[in-house]
Amino acid sequence: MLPVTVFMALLCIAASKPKKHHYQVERATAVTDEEEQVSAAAPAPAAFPTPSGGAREQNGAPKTLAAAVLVTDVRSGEVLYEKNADAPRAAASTQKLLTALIVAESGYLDQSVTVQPVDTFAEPVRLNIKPGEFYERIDLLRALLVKSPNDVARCLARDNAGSIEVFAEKMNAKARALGATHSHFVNPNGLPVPDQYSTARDLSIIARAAYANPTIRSIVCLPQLVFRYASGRTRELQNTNKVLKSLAYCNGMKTGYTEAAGHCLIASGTIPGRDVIVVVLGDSKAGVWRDASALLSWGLISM
Amino acid sequence: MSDLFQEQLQALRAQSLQRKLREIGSAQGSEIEIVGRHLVNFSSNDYLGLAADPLLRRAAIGAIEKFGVGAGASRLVSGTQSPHVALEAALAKWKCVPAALTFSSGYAAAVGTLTALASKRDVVILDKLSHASLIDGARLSGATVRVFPHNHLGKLESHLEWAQRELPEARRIVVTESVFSMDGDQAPLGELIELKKRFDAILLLDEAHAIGVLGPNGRGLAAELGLERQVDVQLGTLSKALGVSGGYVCGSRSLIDWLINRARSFVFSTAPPPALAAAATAAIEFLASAEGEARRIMLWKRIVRLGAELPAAPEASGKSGGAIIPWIVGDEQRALDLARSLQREGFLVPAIRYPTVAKGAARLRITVSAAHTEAQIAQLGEAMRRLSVGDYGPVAAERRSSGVGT
Ligand SMILES: Cc1ncc(COP(=O)(O)O)c(C=O)c1O
Repeated sequence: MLPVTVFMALLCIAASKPKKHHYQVERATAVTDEEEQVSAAAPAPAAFPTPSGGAREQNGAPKTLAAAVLVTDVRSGEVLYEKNADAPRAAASTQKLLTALIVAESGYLDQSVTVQPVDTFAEPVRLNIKPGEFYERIDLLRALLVKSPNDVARCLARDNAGSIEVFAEKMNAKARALGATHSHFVNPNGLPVPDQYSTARDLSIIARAAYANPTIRSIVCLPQLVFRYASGRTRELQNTNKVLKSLAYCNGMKTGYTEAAGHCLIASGTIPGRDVIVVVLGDSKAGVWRDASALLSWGLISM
Repeated sequence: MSDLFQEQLQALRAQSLQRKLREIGSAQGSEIEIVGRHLVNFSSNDYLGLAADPLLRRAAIGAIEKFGVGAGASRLVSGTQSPHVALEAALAKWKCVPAALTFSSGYAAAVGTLTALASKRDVVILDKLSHASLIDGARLSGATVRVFPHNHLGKLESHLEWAQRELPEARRIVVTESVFSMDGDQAPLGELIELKKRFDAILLLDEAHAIGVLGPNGRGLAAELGLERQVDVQLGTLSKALGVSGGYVCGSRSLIDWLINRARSFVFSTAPPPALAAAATAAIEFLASAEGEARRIMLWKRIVRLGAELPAAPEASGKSGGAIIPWIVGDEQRALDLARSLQREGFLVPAIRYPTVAKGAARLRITVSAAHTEAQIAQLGEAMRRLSVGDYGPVAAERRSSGVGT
């Protein structure tokens, strides 16, 4: 392939030729013709930009330094790109999508939950809900998906199944039922414990099921959320997903980070006629946003 | 007389706020000609590339052959010609509403509608970033006007509470846009509808920048979210993605009948040329077709491509929800310099500054069209990455140094 600069120069020459045909009726419609004109003059299609300075995989996907990646076309289920997609890894908070799916499918979301002392025995990030307070399930679910608080995950799980242990069994059963058979879940929030793991492929299966759930779909796209505490105090929660906030076509889903898992992001995106889910696991702090953005953009317009 | 405005103009110049017209010597399109130079145009609202489309040209020419150029009278007198009737029927069908009415511009539609809906006994509550036409309409109606910070549901709620408490008899009208013209972001429509229902208010939604871009067959944000029936007054323009000129209102039969009688910008103005109505009808039929949907998909592919090309903007840039990509620079002079450098390289990308946007929030406003080629977008991306180096410390530096991602 030609170096980008030479390619650009060729395009500039092509573009600077005087074009009389602006006034001709035939031209304007031809969005596709125009494209052919350009590609006829150019040696290669304009290279899709990638985070790693143009490096790409064989099928054109942008190369990343993430430990595991999977890009799926949501409608067909077709895998567009994968890298170490079956390697067992810690999923960190991305597994809250499974927690949310179970809670959302259990229904009665407008009913109240009373916070129990055990719910609050969680590591940061916490929302600091207090034992004895009441919240509607839907409000806790929104907070869970937007800000990822671990006390809220515990509260919803305990409320749903009676205990964290029983909820974990439900998580495993649900994952198996969806076909995500290479995972084992021990808690609802993804905090590190031995023998808890998933894979990029399994997380993609779970994310696809969550994406199909209208309640979850309408929450994961919220850039921010006002959470009203039982005391009446309100707090504005900013969505932790930075890709959601920068790309028009990103419509969710869930971030994750632990030391063992690295920086993780499941990102969904849509354009008319196409939906894509990207799973990025074990990336760097700065890399995760750029890699997920590049993979999402590529996934939406590849082919 | 000649000196009357000199001082004021001088003051504008002193603040570098004086604006000037520039002549475009070509049809609208992804490339336009300014003083003999061809520039790739990232500044128009012709999102689907319809403004110069042969389909629309043919429709307009056909109508001119049959109906001539001028409509001759106002709509209520004898200016309602068959193309006007056909356009309003096509609009109502496309938007799945009982009735539609068209105006000479989106501006006229907003002013005429708001002044007809609200009187001085009423309350109009607007989003802070609402378009000037909505603000002017609200003011001109004589209603009590309240403004809530951009997309701030809490403040909107307290205005509604206030209106319900203090002016219980007043009509409460909430006004917002679906995709904001300078920030490109979307209104939280679902939540707005919950609020307007709770306070028994009327919701007026300006879909100017969402039509042709969002929703099935480009029917807008309300359609995308399946909330069309819950928006009382759907306002829009024929001048942007539809590629023509004019404004419209869609809603109930009684709303439209009231506007026909009371919207002064409709009543006291000569009907728009029938050829424009015919062209707009062709645009709507195109959008409703499979080809139109394919064009809209093409637009979104271009939006995604630009998203992939642009250097990572700072978080404060906010989320774009359509074909308008605000690239926030902050500093006014820096935004102007960037726009000038881009123009030298052959791209027309406008810098938007105070007072159109807040001080210190100057930006490049990039608009994408289905008519752009991938190569044009890649070239802009390359230029932006190169020219904005240094703007965003760590990200820019990283890109510059190794070219290898983390
Ligand atoms: C949000 C909004 N509403 C209304 C208008 C006015 O429409 P028109 O150009 O048809 O007068 C515009 C832009 O011009 C706009 O951006």
